[in-house]
Amino acid sequence: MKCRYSENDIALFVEGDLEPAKAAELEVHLVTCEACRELEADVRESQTVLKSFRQEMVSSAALSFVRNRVLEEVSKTPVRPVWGRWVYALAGAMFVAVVSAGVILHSGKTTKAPLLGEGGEAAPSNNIPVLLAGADGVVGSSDSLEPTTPSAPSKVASRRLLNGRSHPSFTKEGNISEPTPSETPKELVVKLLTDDPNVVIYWLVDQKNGGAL
Amino acid sequence: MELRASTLWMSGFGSEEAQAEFAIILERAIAGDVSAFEQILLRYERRVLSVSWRLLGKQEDAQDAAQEVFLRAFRYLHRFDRRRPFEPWLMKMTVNVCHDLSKKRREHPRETVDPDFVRSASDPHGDLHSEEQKQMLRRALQELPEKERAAIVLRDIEGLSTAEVAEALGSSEPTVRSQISNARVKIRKMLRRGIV
Repeated sequence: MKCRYSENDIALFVEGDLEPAKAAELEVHLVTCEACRELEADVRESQTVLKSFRQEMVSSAALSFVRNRVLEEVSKTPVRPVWGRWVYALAGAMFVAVVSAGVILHSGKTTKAPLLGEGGEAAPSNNIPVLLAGADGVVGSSDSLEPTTPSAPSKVASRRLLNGRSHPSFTKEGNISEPTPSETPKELVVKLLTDDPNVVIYWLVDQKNGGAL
Repeated sequence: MELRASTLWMSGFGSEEAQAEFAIILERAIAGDVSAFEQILLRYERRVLSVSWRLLGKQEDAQDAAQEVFLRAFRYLHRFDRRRPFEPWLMKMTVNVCHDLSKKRREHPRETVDPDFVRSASDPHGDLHSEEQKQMLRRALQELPEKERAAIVLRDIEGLSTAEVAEALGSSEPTVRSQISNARVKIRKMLRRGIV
């Protein structure tokens, strides 16, 4: 075809799929171009046969066969309520809230316990050295072990209060050394265990002052 | 006047009242109401099965595909964007299911006509075309590349608009126009040569 209109243009034109401006031009062209007219007639003919398929209807038997199978499967499927996703989200949020509240309350109780010691006075917060253990259970740098409060000694001796056994002490170099019987602990370390195994709170108690913090 | 069985069958869906009614049915189906889903099934089963048959060429495959389409539709109905028209969404699912199934089957489809499966509506125009012509056209359709076949089945046989076909195929309108024009030209050539 040597015209400026392609077969594809004519194929679109016969079904009104061509842009209106181009369709108008092509319509004028068809009056004078016999080759394009023949092509148009051909496409129209094949399109007519194609559209005759619209009259072919799938039989009712075939439809009901599919319908029955679908309904059978669908009725087996448990009904999923629309609000299902929100229930799971809400339950998750509530669980997180309850766990968080529990952790906060529990840690609140454990931090208050030393304050009920001898003297009954609340210790100023800046006198409470708190050491946090890392996730691997190893206390961080040795520097962090040394309390920064003015009253804190440079060397820390510790004792596990719960069972009365001696507790390994942390040296400045970060090594752990067992205390010798001759060592007289000047300070007591209170180790507070929380629900979170990664969080351990240490309280340093000055025994010279009768346990007052 | 050209008779368009599928379009006539679909008529009445376009009114605002019918759309509102369908929206309620859809909501109920999304909430898990099987009887509401059955109404959707009744409304679209013919079109889904017909398109599946045109795309796959075999009655058994078409029935499997149609079943899978409706089961997927039931499963994923809650994901349907209610601001959009439902039919292109279902057609897209149909095209995808047929694509998956034809990949699984891995054999070239040959459309077969079982008289128990399809029947011609009483249309005087239908008689103008010989069965031989129709058989040739069926084979020509199956010779087309998958995308072109899907485009022409939806546009020329099912009577969807170019925009609806584009939505169903996940393509742009210019792409669909290109696909249908290519398909029409190829079909015309195949029929002219009397091949396939």
